[in-house]
Amino acid sequence: MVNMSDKNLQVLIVEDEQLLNEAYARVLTAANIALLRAYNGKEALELLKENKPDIILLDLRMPVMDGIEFLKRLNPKENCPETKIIVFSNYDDQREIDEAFSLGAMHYMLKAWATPDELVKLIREVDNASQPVS
Amino acid sequence: MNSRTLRSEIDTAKHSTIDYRQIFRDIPDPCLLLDAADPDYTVIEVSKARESILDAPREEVVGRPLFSVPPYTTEMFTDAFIQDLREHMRHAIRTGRSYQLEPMPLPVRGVNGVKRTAYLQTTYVPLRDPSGAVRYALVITHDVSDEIHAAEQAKTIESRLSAALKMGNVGSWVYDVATGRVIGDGNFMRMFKMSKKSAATYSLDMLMESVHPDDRMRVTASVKQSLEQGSLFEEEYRVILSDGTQRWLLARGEPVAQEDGLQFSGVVVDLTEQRDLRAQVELAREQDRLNRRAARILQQRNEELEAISRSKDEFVALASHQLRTPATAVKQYIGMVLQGYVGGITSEQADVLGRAFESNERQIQIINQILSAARVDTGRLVMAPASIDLRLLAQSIARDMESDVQGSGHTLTLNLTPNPVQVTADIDYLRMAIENILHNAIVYTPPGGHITLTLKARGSSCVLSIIDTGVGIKKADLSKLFVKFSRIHNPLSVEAGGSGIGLYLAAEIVRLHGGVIDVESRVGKGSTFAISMPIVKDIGVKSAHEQS
Repeated sequence: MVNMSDKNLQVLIVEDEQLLNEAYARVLTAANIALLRAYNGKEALELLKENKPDIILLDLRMPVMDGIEFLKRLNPKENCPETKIIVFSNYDDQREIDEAFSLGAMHYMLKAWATPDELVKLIREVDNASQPVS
Repeated sequence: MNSRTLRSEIDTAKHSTIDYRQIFRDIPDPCLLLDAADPDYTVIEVSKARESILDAPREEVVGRPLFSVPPYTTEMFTDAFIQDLREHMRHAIRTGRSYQLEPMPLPVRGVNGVKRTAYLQTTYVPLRDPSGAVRYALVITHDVSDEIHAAEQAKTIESRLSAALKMGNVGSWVYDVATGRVIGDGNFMRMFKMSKKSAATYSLDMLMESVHPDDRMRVTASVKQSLEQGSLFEEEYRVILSDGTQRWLLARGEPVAQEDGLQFSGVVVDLTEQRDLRAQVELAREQDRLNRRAARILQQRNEELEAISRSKDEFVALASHQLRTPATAVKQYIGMVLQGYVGGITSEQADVLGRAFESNERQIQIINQILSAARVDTGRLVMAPASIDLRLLAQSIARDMESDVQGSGHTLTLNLTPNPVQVTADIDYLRMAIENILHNAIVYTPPGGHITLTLKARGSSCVLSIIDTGVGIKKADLSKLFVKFSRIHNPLSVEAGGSGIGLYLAAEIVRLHGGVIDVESRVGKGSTFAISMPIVKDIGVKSAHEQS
């Protein structure tokens, strides 16, 4: 288990799969990370009206509003340049990833690669980095 | 008659002896006057016509033996031939009867001075005096070229006509309406397979017997109509010959009113070959139509299959992606327990869960490989080429797989060239290819085996070899090695449990890098997989949009 620093880090999980959403919540909570949880882009936009998380862990293919549409609506470069967005998807369609990056995402990881430790490590690295983490 | 008149007559007579020679000279035909009593047949005089035609001037002819003047000097007149001619001349003189030689092609000079070959016919004419004795002989030559050519032409025309008639199988016939009999020529008889090959007479009814029953009424009606109306008769019909064969004939004729009644004559042509040919052409056309139709159907089927294949690929991609999610969830939850996110566990529990975690990892790898294979199949595997040091990549792979090697009780030896080996490659895909081969070396080698990784650079290419002391591959199985989903049975195949994709993918990836994989193997001894790749070369980038 990777322990986090004392810093009060907040992550918004945007993941439609109940099991995965819950798994990430358990892992991040155990790692002392504050959470916001949404199951699609629309819910995430609602949460962002009141909150400013440090990191958004964003799935791309979701019902109601997918990750790309969410990024288009959010326009993070204009509206929340401080928020770092990690595309966390099981699809590795390069066009989709490129589009997400052009809309303000800075990092990408295939969900299937990440163990809980690797997820926490990624979040910590992204939080500390000013450049994209690959 | 007075003396003056007598003198005049004598003078004329005197003169006339000279005139005979002159007259002879002026004879328009080429001829010679010979001394018949002379065994050499010395030439007494020659006509001017002969001089010019045979191109032999008087001084070269007169006073000489006949057979020493042209044209007897030409090669054509052999000694034996001249002997023969001499005999004929002697015979003619002795009997007083003319002898005519066969026409011979001889070189002559035409009126315009142009030399040509002409057919000359020579006649030996013995001349009797009033006492009946032969004292002189004439050799008269005629140019019979025109007659010969005409005869030859006639012969050619005749043979051509005959050939044409035979080739066209044209027969002619005359139907005598009054007697009801048909007279046909040889061809006509042949067509009806009648016994006689020359013209013969048969009754119309008898001939009608050989007409195909299905055509008989039509032909009979047509003959009748033609006779009644005096119109042209033309019918195409089948005849069944005595030997049972069937032939197609076209008969054409016209009734003509004659003094002694109506005569109906015409020709008949055998169309069987043409009809066969037409049938063949028609058959060929039909075949062509069928071929085109088959091609269209095949193309359509091909498009359908391509569509099915596309949807299969899409399905495989979709299913694989869908499979990733539950496998990812398993990874997270087992990972949470193993990595201490939900409290501690016993080492035995950790061991059991570790096996579940490994199995899940393998499942995720297979899914990734299926997705990569699907991309290769659809040409959507995109390379991100960069210049890399293959030596460093080999070292990195060896490090990463060290635990697998040790876990299987093997030893891994690196035998790499000391210098960097720069290749242009997509490092992730090339790593996948090498790892797939190394993975096979590990699982298909009984515990305690040796695996060696060697890297050699030779000129513009390099060879990375993965050598094991494993179960080996039968010769018969080598061809199946890189075929997608093919499984090869060996003592370890059940335990190894491969997906049948790893080597296929490795070969495709190496191929996309401009390289090739060679395999050498001995059953029970081990295998060597040698990846040959060009050193620094741009690799082909496929037209696709995805990249792992």
